[in-house]
Amino acid sequence: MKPFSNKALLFAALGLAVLYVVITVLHKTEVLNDYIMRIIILMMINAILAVSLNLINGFTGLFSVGHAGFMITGGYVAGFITTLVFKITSETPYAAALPMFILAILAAGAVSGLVGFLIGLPVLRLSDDYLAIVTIGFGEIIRVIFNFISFKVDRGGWVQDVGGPRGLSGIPLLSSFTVVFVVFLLSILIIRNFIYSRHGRACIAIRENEVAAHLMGINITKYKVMAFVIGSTFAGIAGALLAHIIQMLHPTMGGFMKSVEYLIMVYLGGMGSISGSIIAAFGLTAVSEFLRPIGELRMVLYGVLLVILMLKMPAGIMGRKEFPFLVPLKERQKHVKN
Amino acid sequence: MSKRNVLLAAAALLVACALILAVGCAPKETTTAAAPAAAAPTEVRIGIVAPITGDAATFGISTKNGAQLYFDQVNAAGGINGMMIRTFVEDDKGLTDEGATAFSKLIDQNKVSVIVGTVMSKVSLAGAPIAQSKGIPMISPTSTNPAVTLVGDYIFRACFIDPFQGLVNAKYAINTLNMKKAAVLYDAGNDYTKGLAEVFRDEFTKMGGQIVAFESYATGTPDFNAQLVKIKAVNPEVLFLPNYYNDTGLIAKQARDMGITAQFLGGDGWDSDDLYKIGGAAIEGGVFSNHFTHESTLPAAQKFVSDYVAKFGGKPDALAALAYEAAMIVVDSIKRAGSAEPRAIRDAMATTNLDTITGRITFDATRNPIKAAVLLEVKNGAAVYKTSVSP
Amino acid sequence: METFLSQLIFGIQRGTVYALIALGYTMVYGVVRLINFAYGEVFMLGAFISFFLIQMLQLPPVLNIIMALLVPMALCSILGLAMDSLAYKPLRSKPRLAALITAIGVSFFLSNLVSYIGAESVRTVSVLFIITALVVVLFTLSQKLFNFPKVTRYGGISMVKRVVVVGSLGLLGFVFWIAKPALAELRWKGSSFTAFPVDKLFTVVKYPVFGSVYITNVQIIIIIVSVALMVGLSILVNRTMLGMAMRASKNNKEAVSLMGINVNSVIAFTFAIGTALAGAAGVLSAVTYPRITAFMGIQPGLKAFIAAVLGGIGSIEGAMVGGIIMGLAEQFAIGLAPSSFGPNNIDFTPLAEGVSFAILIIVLLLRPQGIFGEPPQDKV
Repeated sequence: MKPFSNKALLFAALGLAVLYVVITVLHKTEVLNDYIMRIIILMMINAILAVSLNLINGFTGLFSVGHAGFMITGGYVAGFITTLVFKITSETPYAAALPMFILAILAAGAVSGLVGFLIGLPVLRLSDDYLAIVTIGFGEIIRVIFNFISFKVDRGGWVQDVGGPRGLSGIPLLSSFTVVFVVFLLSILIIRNFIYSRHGRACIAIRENEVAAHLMGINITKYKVMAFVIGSTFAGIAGALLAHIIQMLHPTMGGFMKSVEYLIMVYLGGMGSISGSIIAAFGLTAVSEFLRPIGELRMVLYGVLLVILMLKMPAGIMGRKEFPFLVPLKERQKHVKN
Repeated sequence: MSKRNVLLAAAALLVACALILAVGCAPKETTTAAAPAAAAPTEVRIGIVAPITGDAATFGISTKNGAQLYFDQVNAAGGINGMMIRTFVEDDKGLTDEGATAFSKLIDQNKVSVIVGTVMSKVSLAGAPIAQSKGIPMISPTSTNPAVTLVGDYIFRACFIDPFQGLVNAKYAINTLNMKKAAVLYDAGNDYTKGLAEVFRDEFTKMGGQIVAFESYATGTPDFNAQLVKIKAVNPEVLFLPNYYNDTGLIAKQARDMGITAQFLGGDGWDSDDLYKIGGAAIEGGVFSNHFTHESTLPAAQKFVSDYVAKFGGKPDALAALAYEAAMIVVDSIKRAGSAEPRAIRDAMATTNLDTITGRITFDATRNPIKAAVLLEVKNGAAVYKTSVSP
Repeated sequence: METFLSQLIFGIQRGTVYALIALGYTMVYGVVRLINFAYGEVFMLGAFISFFLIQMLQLPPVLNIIMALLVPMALCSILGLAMDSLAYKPLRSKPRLAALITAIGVSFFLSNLVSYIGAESVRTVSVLFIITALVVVLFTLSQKLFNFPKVTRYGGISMVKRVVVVGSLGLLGFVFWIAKPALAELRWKGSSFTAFPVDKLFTVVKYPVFGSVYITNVQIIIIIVSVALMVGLSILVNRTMLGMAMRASKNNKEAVSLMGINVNSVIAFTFAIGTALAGAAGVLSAVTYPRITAFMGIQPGLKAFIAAVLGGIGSIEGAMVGGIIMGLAEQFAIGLAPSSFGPNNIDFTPLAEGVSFAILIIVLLLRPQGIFGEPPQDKV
C-alpha cells in the first residue's frame, strides 16, 4: 500500500494547515479584529453542533428537537469546573489554564453524553412526531432545572448568586481560535469515522427501513441510543466551547428557538452530509451576523426558508454528497471499481 | 455530478467567508490604529446597546431614545470641545449571546471609546467582561444587579441597585403603611425579580415584618390564579410584586377578581403605559419605586420631559430618563478628560460630580451612583409622585 | 374547602383552553397523521385578529362580542386552508419528517412575522398586504401573458383563486391604509405585550359561589362557549356525512376515495375546522388573560398537544377530557407545591410548572395510546 495514496486527504490537510496559519497571522496583524475572530469561532462551534445533530437526525433518521439542551448542559458543566472548581480568572496564565480547560471540555462531553443516554434509552423507540415533542419537552425540562439550581458562592469579599435565573457569569475567555479549531477538526473526524464504520452503517440502515434493519439482526435500540449519545456528547463539547467565548451562560440559551436554529442548519445542509452541515452552519452564522441590522425579520426569513426548503429542496444543499476528502479511501475506491 | 456539487459547495463556502470578510473589512474608515488617535480627533465614537427588539423592546427603545436625544442636543450645540459625537446603536434582543456579540462589534469593529448599555442585567453581565478586558468604559443605564459593576473598574451604572430598591419598599411598607404581613409573588425565571424579591424578604423580616407567602411563577405564564389562591388563604396586608409591568397588570387583575384586598407594592419594572392598560382598575392605588418622576421640580428635568415629548410624542419613562442621565455623565466625562481616549474617559467618569435631571450624581467605590429613589402611586391610569427616599 | 373550590374552578378554566386547541390537534392528526406545530400560532392570530377588529370597528357591545368571536374563527379557518394547500398538501406523498419540519417553519414564520410587524403602526401591515398582493397579481398576470402553461397551478392553487384571495387581501390593506391611520389604539407591540381590551366586550361581574370564592361572568361565558363548540364539533363528527367521511379517512384513505369522496377536500375541511377552533381558543384566552404577545401560542400549543396525547390522539372525547385533566393537574401541582419562606427553603413551584411534560413522558412510556385511544398495532 503506497503511503499517502489518499491524495484528497493530503491536500485537505495541507489546505487546513495553510488556512490556520493564514488566519492566525491575519489576526496577529489586526487585519481580522477580535470581532471577526469571534464570528469565526462561533461558526466552528455551530458546525460541531450541526454535525452532531446531523448524526442523530440525518444519519439515523430520528427527530430530536432538543439539541440546545445538551449544548447548555455541557456549557454549564465546563463553566462550573473552570470558574468554581479551578477558580480560573482573567489573571491566570493561559498555559496553566489550558489543561484545566481541556479537562472541563471532556467532562462537559461526558456529562452531556450521560444525559443523552438517560433520556435516549426510554424515549428513542417512539415514532417521529412523539419524539419531536418529547425532545422539546426535555429541552424545556433541562432549562427548568438550570433555572432551578442556584447557590451562593463566596467570591472573596462578596457573596454572589450563581446559577438559576442569574445564569453563570464570569466564565474565563479560554476558547481561543487554536483550541476551537483543533476541537472542531477532531469532532468532524471522529463523527466521520463513526459514520463510515459498521456502526454508522447500522444507523443508516435504521434510517432507511427500520423493520428491514431489525430483520437483518441489527439491534435498533442499541444503535439509536449510540447515535444519540455521541450526538449529545459533541453538543456538550460545543457548549463548553461556547461558554468560554461568550463568557456567560443563561438557561434561556438552551431553548426551543436555539434548537430550531440547529435544525435549520442540518436540513439546509443536507440530512446525510457532514460537509453540508458544516457549510450550512458556517453560512448561516455569517449571514445572520451580516443581517444584524434587520433584526427580527431574520427570524421570519428562517421560517420561510424552512418551508421553501422542504417544498423545493428537501435534500438540502448537499443532499447526501460529501467532499471527497471526508470520505475514507476505501469508500471511494469501491465506487470507482463499479 | 459529484464534481459539480463539490464545486458548488466550495463556492458556497467561499461566499460565506467572503461575506464575513466583507462584514469585517467594510467600515474601516478614518481610524487605522487600534485605539482612537490622540492627535486632535474631530469626532468621538459612542456605542449604545439596548434590547430594541425582543420582550424588553419597550425598555430598549426608551433607552435608545433617551441617550440619542442628549447626544443630538450636544451635537447641535457644537459637540464636546469641538468633537462631534458619532453614535453606533446595536440591538441585543434581550439575549446574552447577542449582547456579547453586540459589545464585541462596537468595540472591535466600530472602535467606540465608550458604551452606554445595556438594559437587562444578564446581558450587561455578558458584555461587561468584554468592555473591561478591552479597556472601554461602559455605563449601564438600568442594570440593577449588583454583580455588573463588580466585573471591573471600567464598568459603571446610572441607576441604584436592587438591594437599595428592596430596602425602599420594605421601609415604605413598615414605616409609612404600618403593615406587617406581606406576601411576595415573583417571576422565578428572571434574575431581576428574584433578586428584588429576596432583598425585600430579607429587609422586611429584619425590620420586624412577617412574610406570610413567597410564591413564584414561570416566566410568560398568564395564569397566576394557583399562586394567588395560596396567597389569599394567608391574608396578607401587602402584596409585593417586583415584576415587569406586563405580569404585574395581570396579577393585579386576577388578585382583585379573586377578592384579595392587599396593597400592591413594586419596583421599577412597573414603569410603562401598558401597566395601566393591562391592569386597569385593579392596579389603582399600587405604589412602586422608580428612578424618575415627571413631576420633578428640577428645571433640568422639566426641560428633559418637554424635549422628549416634542421629539418622540410621548412622555419619557424612567428608562429614557436614566439613559439621558447616562449620556450626560458620558459627555461630562469626555469633556473633563479632554480627549476621546477610553482610559482618560474612565478616570474622569470615576470622579463625576454632576447635576443631572435627578439631582447631583457621584459614584461610590464600586461605581454605583449615590442617588435617591422616588415612590410613585398609580392614580387614574398614571403614575403620580408620592415621596422620595434617599440612601 | 374554599381553596380547593377555587383551584377547581381555575383548573377547569385553564383546561378548557387546552381542550379547545387539543381538539384541533387531534382531529388533524387523526386524518393526516401530522402534528401541526403551527396551531399555537393560529391560537395567537385568533387573539390578535380579535384585538384588531375590536379596536378598529368599535361596535356596540353585543354585536362586538359576536363579531370578536366569529370573525377571527372564520379568518383562522381560511388561514388553515391556506396552510394546508400551500405547505402541507404538496408534501403528503413525501416522508412525514418533511411535513413536520415545514410545520415548524410555518410556526416560526407566523410568530416572528407578528412580532416584526407589531413594532410599527397599522399602516405597515396595510402596506405589506398591498405589496404582497401586487407582487402575486403581477406574477400571475405575467404567467398568463407570457404563456407558461405548465405553471398555471402554483402550489396547487389556480390562477383565479390566487388573484381573488390575494387581491382581496390587498384591497383590505388599502382600506385600512385610508380608513384609520392615526388610530394609536391599533398599534400592537409584537414580541412585547399588548393589552387586550376586554372592557370593550363586557364589564366583569362577580358572583359569589361559596364563602369568598367568586366566579365571574367572563368565566361562565367562556365555559358555555367552549362547551357549545365542543358539542357542535361532536355533532358534526358523529352525525353528519362530512363527519363520517372524516372518521373514515382516519381509518383508510384509499377506501374513502374509492367510495367517490375527495379525500383532499375532507382533509382541507378538517384543517379549516381545527384552525377555527384554535382561533376561538385564542379569543377566549385573550378574554380570560387580557394580554397578548406574538409568542403567546408556543406554550399553550405544546401543552395542548400533550393534552391530546393524554386523551388519545385522534379521539375527540380524549382531547376534551385530556385538556381538562391537564388544566387541573397543573393547577393542583402549583397549588400544592411547597414554596420557600426563608432563605434556605427550596421553591418547588418551577418544577410544578413542568408537570405537563412529566405527564407526557409518563403517558408515552406507560400507555402511548392515551385514555381513549386504541393500542398501537405494528403491521409489517
